[in-house]
Amino acid sequence: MSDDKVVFQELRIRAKGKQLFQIYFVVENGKSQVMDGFRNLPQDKKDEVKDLIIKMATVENFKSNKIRWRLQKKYSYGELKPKGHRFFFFLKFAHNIIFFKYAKKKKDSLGDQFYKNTESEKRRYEREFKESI
Amino acid sequence: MKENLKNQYEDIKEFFLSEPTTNQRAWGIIHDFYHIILTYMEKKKISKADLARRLGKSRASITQMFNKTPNLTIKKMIEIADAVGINIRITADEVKKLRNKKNVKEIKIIYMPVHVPINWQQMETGFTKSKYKEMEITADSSIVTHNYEEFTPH
Repeated sequence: MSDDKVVFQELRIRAKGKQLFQIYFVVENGKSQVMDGFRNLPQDKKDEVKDLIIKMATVENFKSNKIRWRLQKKYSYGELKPKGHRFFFFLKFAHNIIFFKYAKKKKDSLGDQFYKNTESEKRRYEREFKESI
Repeated sequence: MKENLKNQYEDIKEFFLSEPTTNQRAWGIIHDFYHIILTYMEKKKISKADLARRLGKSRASITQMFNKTPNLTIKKMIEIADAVGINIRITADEVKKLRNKKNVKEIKIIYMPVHVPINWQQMETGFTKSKYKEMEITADSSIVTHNYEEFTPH
């Protein structure tokens, strides 16, 4: 895969306090699942997700029922989970949060296989991110 | 192509950079509230099942409660805070700033130990009374002094 197919774009945030993490989202072949998913959210959900991402970037050890920093022991990525939606991310080099995947979530709609596939996607993006820096 | 890619998500980037709206700030308060509750619960080893028991609710309704919209009532917030043992109150950045300006933005403490024997009798018993003075110089340049006494064997 050529390097220019995957781009990591920075999502700048307006932080009141100290910014702990840089936020990136994956754009592959000119498309970003994460941003397209975000764009299609209703306004209230957008507001909720925006605040959650800002909190993730600026509040140390931020705790919320809507964020799982790491999914169980077997997966090395986390998810931001506003009701009905999933935004998947991983942490890299201590201070970067990279959002790489989005999925709509209905009850029991995402099975084990989905999470396994997401793990391999994450590894691929992680390698690309490492190379891009 | 590159220019298109650059501009494709500009609206979302701008949305993240813009000043928070009323609705976003309401979400911010809800998220702060649950962050405080969850942090305290973890520190005090209070499980969600414990919280459910204390509130007289089911475990499922607690999970649902944590996913509430900004319409969570103040009364409900206080009930939850009481159940975990936290006293919550409302404050404002501007009020905090005013308070800090007025009082103790910067404190300098100067120790001035002065050893003064109280009387000969105490000298004979082998103790010395020491007097200490602490001076606090506050942000508005007023000085507050505190006097302390301490007995030390010599």
